[in-house]
Amino acid sequence: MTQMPSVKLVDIVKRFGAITAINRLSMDIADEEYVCILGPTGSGKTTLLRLIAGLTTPDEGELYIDDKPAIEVPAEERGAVYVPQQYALFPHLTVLENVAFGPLARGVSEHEALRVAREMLEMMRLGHRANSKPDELSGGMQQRVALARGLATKAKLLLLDEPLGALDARLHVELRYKLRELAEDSGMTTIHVTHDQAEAMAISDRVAVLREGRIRQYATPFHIYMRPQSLFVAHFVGGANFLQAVVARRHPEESVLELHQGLKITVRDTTHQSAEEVVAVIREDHVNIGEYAQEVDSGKFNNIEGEILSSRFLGSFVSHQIRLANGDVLMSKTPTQRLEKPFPVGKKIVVYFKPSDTMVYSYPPIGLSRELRVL
Amino acid sequence: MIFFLGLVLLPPIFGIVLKLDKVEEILRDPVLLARSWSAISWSFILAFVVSVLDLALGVPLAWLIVRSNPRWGSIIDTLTDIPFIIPTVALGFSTLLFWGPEGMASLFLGRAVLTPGLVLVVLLHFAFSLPVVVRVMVGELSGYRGTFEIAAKTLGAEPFTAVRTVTLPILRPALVASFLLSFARSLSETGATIVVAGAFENGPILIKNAKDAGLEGPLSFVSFILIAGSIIAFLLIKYLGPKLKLPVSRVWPKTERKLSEPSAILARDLASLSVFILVVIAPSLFIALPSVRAVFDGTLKEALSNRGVWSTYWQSLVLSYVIGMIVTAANMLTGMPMAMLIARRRLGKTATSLMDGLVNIPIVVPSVALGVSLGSFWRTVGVLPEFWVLTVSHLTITYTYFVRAMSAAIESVPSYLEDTARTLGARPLTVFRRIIVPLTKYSLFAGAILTFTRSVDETGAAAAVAVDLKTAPVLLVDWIRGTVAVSSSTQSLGVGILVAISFIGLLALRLAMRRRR
Repeated sequence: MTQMPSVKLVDIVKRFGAITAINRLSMDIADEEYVCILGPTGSGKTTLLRLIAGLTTPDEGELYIDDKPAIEVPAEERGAVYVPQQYALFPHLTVLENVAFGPLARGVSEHEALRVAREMLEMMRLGHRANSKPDELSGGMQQRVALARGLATKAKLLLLDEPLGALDARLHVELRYKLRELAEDSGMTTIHVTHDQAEAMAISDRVAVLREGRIRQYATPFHIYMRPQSLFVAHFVGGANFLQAVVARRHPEESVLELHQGLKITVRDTTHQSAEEVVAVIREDHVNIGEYAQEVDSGKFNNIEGEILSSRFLGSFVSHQIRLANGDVLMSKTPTQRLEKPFPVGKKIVVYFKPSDTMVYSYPPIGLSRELRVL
Repeated sequence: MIFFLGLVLLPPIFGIVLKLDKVEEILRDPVLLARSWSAISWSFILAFVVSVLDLALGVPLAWLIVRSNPRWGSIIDTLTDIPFIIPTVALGFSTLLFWGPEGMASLFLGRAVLTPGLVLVVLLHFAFSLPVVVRVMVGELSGYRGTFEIAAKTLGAEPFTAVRTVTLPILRPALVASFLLSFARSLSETGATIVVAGAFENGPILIKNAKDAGLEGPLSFVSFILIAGSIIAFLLIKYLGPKLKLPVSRVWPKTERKLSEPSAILARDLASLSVFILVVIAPSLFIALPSVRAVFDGTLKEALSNRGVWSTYWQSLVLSYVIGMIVTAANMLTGMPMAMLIARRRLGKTATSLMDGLVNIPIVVPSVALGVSLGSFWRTVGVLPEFWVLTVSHLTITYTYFVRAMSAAIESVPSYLEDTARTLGARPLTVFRRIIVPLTKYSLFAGAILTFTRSVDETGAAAAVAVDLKTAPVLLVDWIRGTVAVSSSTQSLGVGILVAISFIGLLALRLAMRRRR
């Protein structure tokens, strides 16, 4: 197998007038890696992809593809195939002509180009649709043609811009795994842009969380979910409860935080100083609800009395909104099978969660709501 | 770019500047000055009145085309194109005959209904600028999403209220655009206006008369004011038009309920159709009658014998078509890159919108004034033989049409198709050849036909520029005005042949459009 490229971005800056779309961004993508760029609308995802594709030039910084400087290389010579959300199948060409477009544009003989195109279509199990026009195909088929077209160029790098965004919910879930499988089989390095955190978590080797043109965290999906580096990442990926607190006491093994109205919880974190203002973060699925306080062998739980404000049945989960004794409101997500039935509104209950499941961050200087703001 | 600046934009500007010294002449002659100002004022008044009338009929008519039974809609739609496709000189002649002593109207009244003059000019301008309004409004209305209107209706608005307070304000840019186009067209028209004007004089007619009389002063003065005035008027309408407040906040439920009743709608449709047929279609097509008569009364035989006046006629016709073909080819070659520049904003935002505005100038400025200016420029430069001066002038005048048609078409091709093609390994030229051209080929064809017919049709500029050479419309104006004495049968056939060829053009355009759908 030929050596696949690595992509390396160093201190890239891209401005559009007064707006800095990409702000000193650096990242590496390894050979054959599948990386998702995850971020809210306007975070610079598409700009980043277009920079790598050669469709936009950065104002500052360096870009290497396969260890070679790439900024001066025009888009048509980069070997980086860009697939926009709409797939960009050429409407006036047949499926076969679409797939043969790349090789022909690169100067391959017509005979050879068509042979390669047919081979790619067979691989995607679309050989029988070679003579169809793109608009006669379903969304899923169009996506496969777009991929076949990319593969036929023998490009080393696949750049997908919201490739599942145009599909309905069910197909969306089905095709995300298929996409990953195809990219893996072809051995291409793939950079996939999305705003859908579930999609990014499900298929990538690594996820880069982007906000305002900067990478906020670049790690495996597991790492990002379990150990988010910032309040924003915790909020944007997976969702969580955020409780304002002050560090009341710090012990060698654990700390005690004081919430509103003097309510205290124990956390495993010991990195924050006494009297420091902090935010305690608990994932919704780590918040348990019971009728009585809990105590187990592996360690004690934080037990807080509360009252059910609302309950929603979501199929495999039940979501409860709870008001704690001190007035703070928490969300909890419980697997349906662990409940006999959702708790009724107004029911007095006990909320309990492990100290080790509580992450602690310094209170952000810009304020909590601005830090968490997605747009 | 260089082509645009060198051949399209700068010559008219320099041309008029070169003639500015002549303006002094007229400032010393109060009679000529008064006559010039009156002609200029009439030009603008006429353009304004005609554009208001055009909107008043054009909007209900476009509505009827889009919202009625598709078959009827399509027939009316095709009919609307007729005044557009008939060369304006022919339209003028046809209108003159229709309202004149031997016309259809006199059959019922026993005398000529209208004699050449202001009223006939208004009717004529109304007829040839209406298609522009209908074309723009039909395009907008068929792309308009009815959901806003439905939402308004479910909120309790009568249909008429919904249209008045929701649909029309949303379509305001289109209303402004069609007003502008019909304004520019009325301001610019020369050939047909001369034919029906009688003693009435507006700017273009004065220019033509002044040229025939060898009066350089008024010629330059009126050209200059028309060019400057039309650009100012264009800018005013373009920037102030969208700020015009429509009365949307008030509702008159009772009146509007009445206006929404089926009987009211039927009355409106019938009224607009009758006006359309009586004032626009019938006068436009009337030329067919005398032309057909001329075919059988021996005039055709005479024409084919290529003797006397007919020899010059055929030469003029060939000249018109040769110029048309050269102009079309040159436009395709040079207009495409300009269309790309504009559609893809290659020059950045500010420069692109400036360029976008500049490209409009040849369409906004009265072509006869443009012709005066171009003639002055090229004769001063003095390197080109008259044929080429004529050709270049036609190029200037038609340039906008092709660039406009193409830039709109290219804009409708999503830029991500180009981006993707490039990342697949296609160089810019390959992208252009294999993606842009195939996806815009119908517009390319339509733009070419439009350019060609517009070139063949042009009277004002052709008359202003040339001294010895006469294109077919210019020759026909001479025939009809009696500058060259010919029989009425000869006039009719001469015009009829030009019309027949234009109809073939319309047919080709229609077929191309149908294939696109």
